[in-house]
Amino acid sequence: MTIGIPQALSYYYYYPLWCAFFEKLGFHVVRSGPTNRQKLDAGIKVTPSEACLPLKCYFGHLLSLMKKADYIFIPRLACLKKTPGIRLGCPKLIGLPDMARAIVPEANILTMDIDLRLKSEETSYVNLAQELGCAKRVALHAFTYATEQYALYRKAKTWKLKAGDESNDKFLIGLLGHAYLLNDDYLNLNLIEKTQDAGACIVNCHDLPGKELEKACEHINPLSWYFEEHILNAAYLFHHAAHLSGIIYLLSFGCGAGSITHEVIDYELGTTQTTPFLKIVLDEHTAETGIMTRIESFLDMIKLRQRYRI
Amino acid sequence: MKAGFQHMGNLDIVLRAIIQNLGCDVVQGPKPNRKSLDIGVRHAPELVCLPFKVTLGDMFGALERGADTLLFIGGGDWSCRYGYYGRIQCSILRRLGFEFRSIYIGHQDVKSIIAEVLHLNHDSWTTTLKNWTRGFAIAWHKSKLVDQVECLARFFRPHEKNKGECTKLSNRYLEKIDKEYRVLRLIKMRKDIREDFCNIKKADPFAPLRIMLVGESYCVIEPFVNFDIIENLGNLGVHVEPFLTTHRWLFYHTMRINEDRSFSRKEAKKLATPYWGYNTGGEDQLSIAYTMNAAKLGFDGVIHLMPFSCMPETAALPVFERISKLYDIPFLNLSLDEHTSPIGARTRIEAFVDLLAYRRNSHKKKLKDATGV
Repeated sequence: MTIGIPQALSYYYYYPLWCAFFEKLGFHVVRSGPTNRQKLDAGIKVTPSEACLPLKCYFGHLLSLMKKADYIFIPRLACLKKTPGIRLGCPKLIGLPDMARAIVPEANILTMDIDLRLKSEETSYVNLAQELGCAKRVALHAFTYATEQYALYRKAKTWKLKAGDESNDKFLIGLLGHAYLLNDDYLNLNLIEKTQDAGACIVNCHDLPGKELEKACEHINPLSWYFEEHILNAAYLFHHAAHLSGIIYLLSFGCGAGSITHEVIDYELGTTQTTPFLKIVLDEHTAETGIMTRIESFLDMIKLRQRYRI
Repeated sequence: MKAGFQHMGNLDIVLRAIIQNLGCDVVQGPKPNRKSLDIGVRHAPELVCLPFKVTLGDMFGALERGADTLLFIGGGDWSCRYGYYGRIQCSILRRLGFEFRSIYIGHQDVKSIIAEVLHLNHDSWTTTLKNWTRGFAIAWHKSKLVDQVECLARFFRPHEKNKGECTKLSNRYLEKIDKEYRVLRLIKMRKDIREDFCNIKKADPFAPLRIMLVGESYCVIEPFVNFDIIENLGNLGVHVEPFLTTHRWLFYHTMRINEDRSFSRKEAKKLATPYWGYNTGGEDQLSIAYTMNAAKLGFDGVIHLMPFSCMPETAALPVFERISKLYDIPFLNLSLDEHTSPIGARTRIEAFVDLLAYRRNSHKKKLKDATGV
């Protein structure tokens, strides 16, 4: 039996975990492949026009998986952390399986609720495996294996922000935003590569160590969205890294949490803010050239700033 | 202490009664209008939803009129942006140079609110309890009366002979309720209101179309934001039933208590769960349940109001469309923001009503052809 995982939204956070879990249970996992024009167009057709770009893209991926997989795995990320405070997913992530059922009623949807207020992550995964006809012992074993694999993956990706990373002629730019925007090269119009070509070295906020980041940012008034909290913490770290020359914040039009996060970043760090900050809002009409012009002018300003030591 | 808070339908009449009885003056900005919205839009983040901008304009107005304390409703662990309103509006207003104290009214701030109220009443529990009971009693009766006026106006508006009479009458009574501070008089007023509304000149009897209003609570309740949709639909000869009113919102919805015996929250949740399993922070699950219930109760259509880019309602939109198909009930979505023109919205609503009338007639005709009656 094959299980399909659309390559968008929460995929960019949890794929290694899910893949290891299902493969250990003996299922075949297929991905929908990278985003392209056809997928995005198909997604735009079926979703409400006000939805954010990654959501539209998600449904394109889902539709492309329809013939490839027996089941499509769409988890519901409701509550992802309980201590020190409750951290929730954004409403679109909470309602995702229900939206999928409404938009694509013919799809075989495999879903699981991650709501730490009600039950632990382990129970959710074990219940899911039992639904698929696996024994509890096997499921528990698979979950342990998957979490180990996931921890290894996180560790390999982790990138420490230390002084001295900066090479002589290149300068360091911090990149903020959701993983599903930053890591999807089609959605962000290949922004990372282009910025690197223009002579900057990029620090992706999702490569920063999550737990240490939380510890460093305990005093910040938190957000109650799980993924946005990470962005806020990363913004704090970027602002206090002296060798960082600029910050680019990428968000999609119609992202409700993004509008608040940007404002909170602005006022929580407002007094200490000296690092140049560029906000880029993406939607399906964004032109590559327009974005490139803005990035280039931003980098030029940073170069000027460094030359005159402002 | 002069307290200011946001507007929302007739919320001010009720809240003012409680707050004034607790020994605190109320200074509010003007009711939401184009000017206050423009101020809100100028200072709010660009991509935030409409209620944020309107309430920011309200707070601005209150501060300009001399309020020194602002009450923010909501706050805490919400998945919807409403939970952040107070926090961000506060920082925006402070940055603009205003000086004020902020009090958040939410589930986790109960202790600090009680301390605040105690302080206002000279730290005496007896005075506090006395004032609170009195204030609550007055507010409760006022709220019930406001609800009655709104409900009767909604009910009789399609039937009135001279257009605008119901609105005039309800405005007169709302003013009267606002000024009255004696519980007995308020209780007596109930009968007058009923009689006056019944005595309005009626046109020939007919069965008006029935429309259920669902969506985001602020957009359903605040007439400035939804372009007086209840009144306009009434004037078009439609009986409108909003799923939330100010009274229900304040005393039941915010406390998560049941009011409607015929359709309880539990029942609503059960009904909506197959289509929308979780309440994502707004009124999405309740709205979906009410849409389904409207179809069962034989309503002619459903209008869904939401601010542009509202997170929970946008996510729920495909589900509404699916329910509309499955339950065979016409559905119109209006997404509102500061650029929505009243005329554009009105045209869409009129067209929707025309379609509903046509649909009802064709159903009748089909029934007649089938049965021969």
